[in-house]
Amino acid sequence: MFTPVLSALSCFMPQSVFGLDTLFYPCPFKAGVRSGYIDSRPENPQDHLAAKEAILIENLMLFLKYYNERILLEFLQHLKIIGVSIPISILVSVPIGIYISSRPRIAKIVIYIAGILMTIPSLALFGIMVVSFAPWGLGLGMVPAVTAITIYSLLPITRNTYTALNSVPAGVLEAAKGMGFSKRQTLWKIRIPLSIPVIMAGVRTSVVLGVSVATFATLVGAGGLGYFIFSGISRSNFAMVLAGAVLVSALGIGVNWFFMQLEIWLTPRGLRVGRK
Amino acid sequence: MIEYRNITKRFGEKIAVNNLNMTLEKGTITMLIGPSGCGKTTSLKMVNRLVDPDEGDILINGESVFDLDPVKLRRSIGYVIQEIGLFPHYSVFDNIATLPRLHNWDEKKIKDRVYEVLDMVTLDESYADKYPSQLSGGERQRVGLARALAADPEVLLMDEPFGAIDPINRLILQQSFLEIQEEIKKTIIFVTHDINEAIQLGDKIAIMNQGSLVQFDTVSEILANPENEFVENLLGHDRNLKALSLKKARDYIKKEGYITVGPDVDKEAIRKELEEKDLVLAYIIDSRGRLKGRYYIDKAARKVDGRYPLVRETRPYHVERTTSLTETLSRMLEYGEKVLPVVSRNGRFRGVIDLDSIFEEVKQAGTAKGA
Repeated sequence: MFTPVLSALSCFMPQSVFGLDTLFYPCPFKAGVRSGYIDSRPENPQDHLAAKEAILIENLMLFLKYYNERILLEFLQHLKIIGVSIPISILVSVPIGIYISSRPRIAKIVIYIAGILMTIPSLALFGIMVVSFAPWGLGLGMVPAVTAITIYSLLPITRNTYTALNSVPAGVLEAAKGMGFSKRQTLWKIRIPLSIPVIMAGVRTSVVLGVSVATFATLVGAGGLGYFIFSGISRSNFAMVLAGAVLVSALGIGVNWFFMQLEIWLTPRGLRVGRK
Repeated sequence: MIEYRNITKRFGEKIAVNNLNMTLEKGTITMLIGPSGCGKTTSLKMVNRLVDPDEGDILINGESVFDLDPVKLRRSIGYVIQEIGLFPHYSVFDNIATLPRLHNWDEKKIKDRVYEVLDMVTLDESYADKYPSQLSGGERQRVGLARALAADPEVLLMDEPFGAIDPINRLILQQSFLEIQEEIKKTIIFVTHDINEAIQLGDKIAIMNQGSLVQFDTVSEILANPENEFVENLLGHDRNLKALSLKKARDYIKKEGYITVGPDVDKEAIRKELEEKDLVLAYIIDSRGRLKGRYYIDKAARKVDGRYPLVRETRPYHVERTTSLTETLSRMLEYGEKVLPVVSRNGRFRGVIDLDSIFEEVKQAGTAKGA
């Protein structure tokens, strides 16, 4: 499945894939050629910088014109993958975090396992998912993508929940116990509200991570903005690659900002106000 | 009334509390004091069952705390720890309303009570909407006390509540705490490591060392008759001086060694009277008996026409009737005066207190110890 990607990459190697001149290189898209074919390059690129810029912009315009529906579609698909996997991850991780918060020995094991899961390279994890779900005929599509991202987001949320619940000041807990809070009341009225900022920070980390990992979802047939990056590379269409990359980055920055606001909004007021 | 009966608590090999027997009377403050690890905090926490003893029983008004559900027991006892015990995500109002809400009072009653206890700890209503992070250490401690008082418990447990407060604010807090107690008359157990705090606040002091009760008595009795060397060391070398803090200026007022004059008396007449009686001090008293100033013959100054000058002061230093002897002594040293006038709360002149009476008192306390 990776052959097109590799071949696409290899044919650019001599001209430096990441160099600026590559970006400005006139894509075969204009000529309607969509294979790895590369148009003949000008003798001296510097002389034609302005012209090349114009060509790239033109290509971008063309791309946006022909692909605007597809862009929206893949953008929504990307959000959908995140939107399904993060809530699942929260629903799994937060209760696990709460459960292990008073059981340090189990906590050590759980966090260790979650840590191992997170160290698996994301592309490899997708591969494992495809193989794992294949026997049920679910090897391609949303299922492996969502599962992989959910697994990826487990650690930040679980670990932050566990850490936050255990860093509630001892004096506060002692006061709560001494005043006659039951264990359950202490959890719901004291420990969880005080932990929200840190738990939300974990969720934010997971979401941002999820946005970037979901770029690979297209490789398992789940679509998303990764489609433009990988298709663009395989077609030598740099306008397409650029558009995909910019959109994914913007989405990452956007959700990060959104979740930061959410974090502030959900933080109890008493923790937000400073000294007079 | 709280009774400790043969209480023993072990932590592994270590005996934290060893066969503790103690009866704390209703409406009094008992100070638990001793070096760290002496078992004072452990003993305190047994009352609301944050720690359960291995042996023995604790009775509150004749009822064993071990017959009660710990959660219900704790809700019936006020518990104050250092200022860090406030819930940071609760406003001052919500912090104070915690126990009334656990007791399911109706909101109207809770509101009235919160403002009532806020007033009791001398914080005005504007504090209700603030959060702990917006308060000073002293204010937080007042809120902590208000929170413990909110459900009007009969017993109050205080675990080094003023430990983290700076010395100046601590004095203010201790003073207002005493005033509050005057009003509410709770049975209070107060853990401290500060002997001065114990002497100032306590009705009785329980001194503990290595899990055992060394001495349990009234403050004046402990100061006069320390049980052993350990207690003596704890009280410090200046315990005679400390004993002075229990005594009030009103009991040492002298009505001689000065004259009183009206506000309009002629200076020469005053000088004549002072010289006749061989005195140097004349206090100016108005028609309602209030201290308005003083004249004194300044023998340290240069003579004018062969006579020392007669100086008039309109705002003389003074002490109040309830000022402790320690405070009186320190004011004498501060102002460089051997004699200070004593006034009542409304400013009426009551007589004077002199340095000699204080020395006499210290000397007597010293003799009592020797006997």
